[in-house]
Amino acid sequence: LTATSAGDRFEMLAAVGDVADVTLSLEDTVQRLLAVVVPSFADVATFDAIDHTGKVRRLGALVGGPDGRRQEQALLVRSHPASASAGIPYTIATGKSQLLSPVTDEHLRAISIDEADLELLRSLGLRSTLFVPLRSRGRTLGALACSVSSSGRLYDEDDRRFAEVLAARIGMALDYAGLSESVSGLEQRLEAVLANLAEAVIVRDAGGRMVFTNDAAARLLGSESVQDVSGVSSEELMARYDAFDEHGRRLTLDDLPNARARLGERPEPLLVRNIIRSTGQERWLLHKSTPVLDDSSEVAMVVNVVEDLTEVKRAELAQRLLAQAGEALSSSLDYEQTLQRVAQLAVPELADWCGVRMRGDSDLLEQVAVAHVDPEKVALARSYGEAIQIRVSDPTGAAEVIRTGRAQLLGEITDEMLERIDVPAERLALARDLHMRSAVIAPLATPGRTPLGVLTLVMAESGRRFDERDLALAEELARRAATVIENARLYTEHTRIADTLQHSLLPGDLPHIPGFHLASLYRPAGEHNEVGGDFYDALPVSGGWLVMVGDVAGRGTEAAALTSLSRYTLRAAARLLEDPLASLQQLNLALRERPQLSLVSVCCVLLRPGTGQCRADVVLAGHPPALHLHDGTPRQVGAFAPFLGAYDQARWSSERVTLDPGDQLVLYTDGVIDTVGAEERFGEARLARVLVDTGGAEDTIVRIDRAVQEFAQGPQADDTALLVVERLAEHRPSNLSPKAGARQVDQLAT
Amino acid sequence: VPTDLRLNSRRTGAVSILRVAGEIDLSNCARAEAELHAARDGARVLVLDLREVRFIDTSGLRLILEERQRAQSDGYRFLVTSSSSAVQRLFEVAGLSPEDGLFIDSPDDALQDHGR
Repeated sequence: LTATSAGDRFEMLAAVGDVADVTLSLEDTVQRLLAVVVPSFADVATFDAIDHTGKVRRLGALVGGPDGRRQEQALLVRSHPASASAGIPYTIATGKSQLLSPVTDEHLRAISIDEADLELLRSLGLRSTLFVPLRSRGRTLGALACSVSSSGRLYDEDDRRFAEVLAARIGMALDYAGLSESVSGLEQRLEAVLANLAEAVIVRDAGGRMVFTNDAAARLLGSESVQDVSGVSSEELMARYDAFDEHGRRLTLDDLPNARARLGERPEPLLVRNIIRSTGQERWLLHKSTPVLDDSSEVAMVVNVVEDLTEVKRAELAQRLLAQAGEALSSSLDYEQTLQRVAQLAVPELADWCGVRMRGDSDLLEQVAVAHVDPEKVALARSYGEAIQIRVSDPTGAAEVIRTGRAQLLGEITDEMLERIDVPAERLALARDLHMRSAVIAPLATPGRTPLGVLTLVMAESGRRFDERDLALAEELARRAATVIENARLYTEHTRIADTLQHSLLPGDLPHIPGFHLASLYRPAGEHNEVGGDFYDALPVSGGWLVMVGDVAGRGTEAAALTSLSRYTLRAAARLLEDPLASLQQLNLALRERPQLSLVSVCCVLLRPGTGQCRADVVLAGHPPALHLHDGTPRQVGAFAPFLGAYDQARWSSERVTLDPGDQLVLYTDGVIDTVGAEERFGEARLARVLVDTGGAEDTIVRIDRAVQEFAQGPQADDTALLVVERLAEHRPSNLSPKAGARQVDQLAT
Repeated sequence: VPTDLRLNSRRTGAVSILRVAGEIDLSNCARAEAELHAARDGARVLVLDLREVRFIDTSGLRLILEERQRAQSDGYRFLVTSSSSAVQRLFEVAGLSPEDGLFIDSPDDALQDHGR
C-alpha cells in the first residue's frame, strides 16, 4: 500500500474529486473510483449499493495482484446474507463502519452465506478489512469494503477514519454519476407519496423484515414514530391483538393477506375486526396485500396497505342498531317486552351484556331486561342484576345517572373498583364470575324529563372497552327507548282520562220512569283512548220525561267539549221550558255562538205518561228517525230537520206517537246504520228487519248489537249508542229494576 | 279498513269542480277536505260533484255545511250535485233541503253560468 502519508491520502481524495468532475456513466465511474482505492489503499475493494427494493446490489470489485481478474469475477456475483448482523449489510443498515483487524475465520463465517462463499473469502487471504458506508446528501447509498491481503499491512483506527472520509467522497461521486437516480430516486419519490397516505403502508421483504412503514402505519400500530415500529415482526404485532373476521371467527397470522402474498398469491382484501389487548380498543381494518416480484419472479417484497374502517363500521352498526331498535320499539306497547328486545339487539355487537333497570313505585331500580352474549351466562347476569339492589338514593353508578340524567362511561373496571363497591363477598364473587371489564350506563330519558330508568352495557369476555362513541350510541338507544316508554305511559294515562271523561258524559244510571223500562248500550269506537261523540240521556221535565240520543261530529277532546255543552244545555233548557222544541232552539243558539261550526244531531223524545193513553213526541235534528215497535212491527218516527248548529234560523217539529203497553221506541246513532259490511252499509232497512217481533227492551238491544257485530267488516269505525224505551204492560209490574237492566246491558259493551 | 274514495279536480275559468267517487266517511274525510280546500283556492264557483258517491256520513255532511258557511262569509258560490238515492236520503235526514240553493243537477249548469 502506497498511500500512508497525509500527502498521498490528499492525492487520493483529489483523484476522487477528479472522477466526480467528469461526466461518465455509472459503470465507468465505479471502475475509476475502484482504481483510486486499489492499490493505493487496499488490495481488494468492492462497492455495494442498496436498491429500491431494499436489496444490496454489488456495483463493482477490484482485486490487485496477478490472480485479481478471476477473483474479481467471483466477488462481482457474490451475494450477502439476508441478516444485517454483520459485514456489508450491517454497515448499510446502520450507517456504521466496521474495522476487522486482523480478520479471523470467525469473521469470514459471519459474513459468508455458505461453504463455497466461505472458501472464496478464505482464498482471498484477507488480513484486515474495513466496511464503511457510502453516503451522500445525508443518506446511506451503500458500502465500501477495503481489504488488505498480500501487502500484509493491518488497518488501524486512523485508516478507518480516512476510509470514512474517502467513502463519503466516493458516495458523492457515485451520486453525481446517477446512483441515486438508478437505485434510490424512485424510493425517495415513493416514500414521499407513501408517507403522506392516510392508509397505513407496511412493506416487508421476502424474509418478513419490515423495510418501510409510513406515519399512518406507525399510528395504527400504536407508536409515535416510524422508528419505533421498524423491525417489529408480524408475529410480534399479531400478539398485540385479538383478530376476528366479520363473522366473529378468530384469525391467525396465516389467515391474513400478508401471509398469502408472501407465497406469491394475490389475495382478496380481508376485513379484520381487531381488539388491542392492552387497551381493549376495537378497530375494523381492511387488509390489502400485494406481492412485488423480482427479476426472477421470486417474491421480493409484500406491500401491505391497511385501511382503518372503524368509523365506517361504527356508523353502520349505529345505524343498523337504531333502525332495528326502532322496529322493536314500535312493534309493541308492552314496554318490558320491548326493552328485552332492545337489550337483545345490543348484544353482541355493542356489548357482551346489556341490562335495563326501571324506576318502580319504590326507591328501588328494578331489573326489567337482561341479555348476554353467552346463553349460559344469561341466568348468571340476571341473578346478579337481581341480587344487587340499587336505590335511587345510592351515591354512585346507576343511581347517580338517574339523578343527574347524565350517562357514565366506565372505560375500565378494575378489581379494585369492584372491591370498593360495598357489597357482600358472594356478590363480589358473582361480579368476578361475569368478568366485567368496561361499562356504560345511559339514562332512559327523553329531553327535559326525569329518567325512567337506566340502560347498562357491559363488556366482559370479549375484552373490549367502551369509548366515547359507544357512550353516544348507548345514550341515543336509551333516549329512543325512553320515548317509546313515555308514549306507552301517556297512552295508558290518556285512556284512563278518556274513560273518566266518557263516563261523565253519560248518565251513571238511567232513571226509573214509572210504567217504563229503559235499556241502553254504548260502544265507543277506536283505541279506547279517545272520547267518543255519542251521548244519551233521560231526565224528568215538566209534564213528563225527556229521553234523547245524540251525536256530535268529530272525536277527541273537541267532541267531548261539544258533547258536554249539548247535554247540559239540553238538560237545563228542558227543565225550564216545557216545549222540547224550545230546548233545541236554545241549544242551536248556543252552538251558533261558537267560533267554529259545531254540529250536533239529536233525537229527542218527550214521554207524556197518562192514565190511559201514553203519548210520545219525537223530534229529530239532523238525526236518523226513531223506530216505533208496535205489534212486532217497526215504523220510523220523526220529521227530518237540520243539524243543531248548522243554521241561525231553523225549524224543528215533533211527531206524536201513542205508545201502547209493550210498545218500544228505539233511539240510535248513525254508528249503527253506517256500519261497514262486506258489500254495503248496515242501513235503515236492515235495522228494521232485525227488530221484527222483538222481545223486551234488552232483547232489542242484544239483537241490534249482535246483528251489527255479525255484519261488520274490520274494526268499528264510529261510536254506537242505543237507547230503548219500553212501555210496560199494566198487569206486569217491573220486577226487574230498570237500573239493573240498564247496567246489565251496559256490561255487554265492555 | 280505509273506505274507497276517489277525488278528481278540474278547473274551467273561475269554476273549480271536485269530482268525488266512492264513499265519504270518518276514515277518509280529511283527505276529501284537503282536496276541497285545494280546489277552492282562487275559484269564484266551487262545485262538489257527488254524482258517483254511494254513501256519505255525518263527517262528510259536516264538510259540506262548513264549506257552505265559508262560501257565505268569503263570498264565493258553493254548489253540490248528487244523484244517488242513498246520498239524497242522507241529505234529507240531515235536513239539507232542495230550497237551500246548494244543489244543482249537473256541474254543466255552473259552467254555463260562470265558466267563461
